[in-house]
Amino acid sequence: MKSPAAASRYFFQTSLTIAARDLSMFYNAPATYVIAVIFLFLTGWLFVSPLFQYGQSTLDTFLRPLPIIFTFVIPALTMRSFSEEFREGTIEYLGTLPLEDWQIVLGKFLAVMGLIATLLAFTLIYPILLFFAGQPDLGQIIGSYFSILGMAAFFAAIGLWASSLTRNQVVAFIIGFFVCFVFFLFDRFAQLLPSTAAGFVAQLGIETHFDALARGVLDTRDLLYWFSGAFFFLVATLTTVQARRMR
Amino acid sequence: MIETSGLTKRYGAVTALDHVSFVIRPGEIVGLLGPNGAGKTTMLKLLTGYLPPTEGSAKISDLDVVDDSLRLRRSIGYLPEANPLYDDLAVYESLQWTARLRQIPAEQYAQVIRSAVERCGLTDVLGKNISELSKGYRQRVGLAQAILHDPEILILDEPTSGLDPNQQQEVLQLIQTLKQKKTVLLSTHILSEAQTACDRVLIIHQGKIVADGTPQLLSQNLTQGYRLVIELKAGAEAAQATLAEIPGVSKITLQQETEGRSLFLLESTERDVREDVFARIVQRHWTLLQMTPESVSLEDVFRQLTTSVDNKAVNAEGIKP
Repeated sequence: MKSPAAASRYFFQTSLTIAARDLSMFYNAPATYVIAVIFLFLTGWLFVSPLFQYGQSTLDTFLRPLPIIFTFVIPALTMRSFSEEFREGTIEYLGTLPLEDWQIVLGKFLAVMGLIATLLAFTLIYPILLFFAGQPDLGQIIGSYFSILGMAAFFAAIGLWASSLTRNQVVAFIIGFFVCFVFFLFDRFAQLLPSTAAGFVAQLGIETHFDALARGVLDTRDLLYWFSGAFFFLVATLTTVQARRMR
Repeated sequence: MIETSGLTKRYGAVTALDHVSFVIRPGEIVGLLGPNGAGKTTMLKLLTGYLPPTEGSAKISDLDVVDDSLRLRRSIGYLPEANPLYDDLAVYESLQWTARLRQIPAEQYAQVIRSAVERCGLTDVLGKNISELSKGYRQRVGLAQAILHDPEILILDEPTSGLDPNQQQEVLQLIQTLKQKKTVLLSTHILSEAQTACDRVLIIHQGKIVADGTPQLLSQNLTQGYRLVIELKAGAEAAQATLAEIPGVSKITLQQETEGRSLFLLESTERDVREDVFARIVQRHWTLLQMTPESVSLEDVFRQLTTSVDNKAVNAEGIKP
């Protein structure tokens, strides 16, 4: 019998092995670089152009548009994750290895998060620039990056789920984008509602939670929102993968 | 050992497998034969634990395909139909990745991979990307992945499909070399392959096993009576009339008639009529050019079993009504 420590090591090692292959797939795909360039160019432009106009040393101009940028960047990164496995039939190979299905889902999730973390590492140049320009709030910057990662995890889980629904990457992207966009719209939609319902609906939205964290306010409710959202869609992914196999 | 009992799989209203029961003993190489859509792939997917059965059960080495799926998957090697591989990996990476997911201890990677690579003849392409490989080499990579952890049981879904005759031969030889230690279940629709490589053949049609036995026994059991090819120098009509008089002859078919020569296929039900045929021909002063008994090949068995609507079940003991 395996000891609990050995069992958990096995559990993570297997997921990491799957993540490693998926990461190598990302790094070998030209699409990844196209998306990365678009993302970095867009955020760079949005960050830099108002910086000199207002002379403010904040990350706001980078952070504000991030939710909407992520609604299409992250589904574009995750669209291949499962759809490609279904299209090429390699899911059958994975499915007959001695692995639990959730190890596969977790592995793919970790790979996407690894890729997003790499992308975000490039954006660290923006806060570093701020330190040259003035005295930004370090706490706020750290909080912002936590917030970004939380939102990315939530969107990545949605993207994975969308990818598990179809063998067509484009369809996976459209579904992923649409669902992310609906979560993005909840706050806007809330403004149209009577005030009793507005608070509740706004809590479901991305920006309510993103703004709070981005201001440097670390609230466990916001962390819980990202965590439970990601968890929900990862479970949905697992269920979909299993259901597709059972047909 | 592979054991199924009443194994059934339905996809909605379609029954892909219909109460299939059989036992495969350790060390046997068994060919699962059937036309496309007969249920071969479904059967293999059930046995590997990829799909759950609708009814019935299957056990491999006493592990249930549903309840002990994870342990079962450790003890089998599987080559899926169409051999899906990750094109972006190099051959060595792909094997190493499989070794990691199969939880082979890291210090054994090199040795395990070398052994599989040598057996499958992959030494020359080890560093190449899988996307650059020919179909034959891809198939070998799939096989190498399947035997990497030295499983007791190998399940191969059409291991030779898409290969040229030389490559087919190589793959079959490879399977033969694995025979000493392993139980192999392979599916195919190429009959000669089953005939040469397998100890035993299961013919499956419309989700049911319609025949089970060695290739030789199956051919014998289906040879109902005798078939003779007869060629003689005589007019077709006269010869046909004469041969038809022989007691026991059930059917004569004229196959060819050229310049006073006739070629017949003569079928008799109960007895060997060769002596009588010879005597009649001598009696009429005709010249006998050939008399060849025609044996039923596995191909005939296959065609007979998988085209008739009302199939007869055949097993090693004989034909069941």
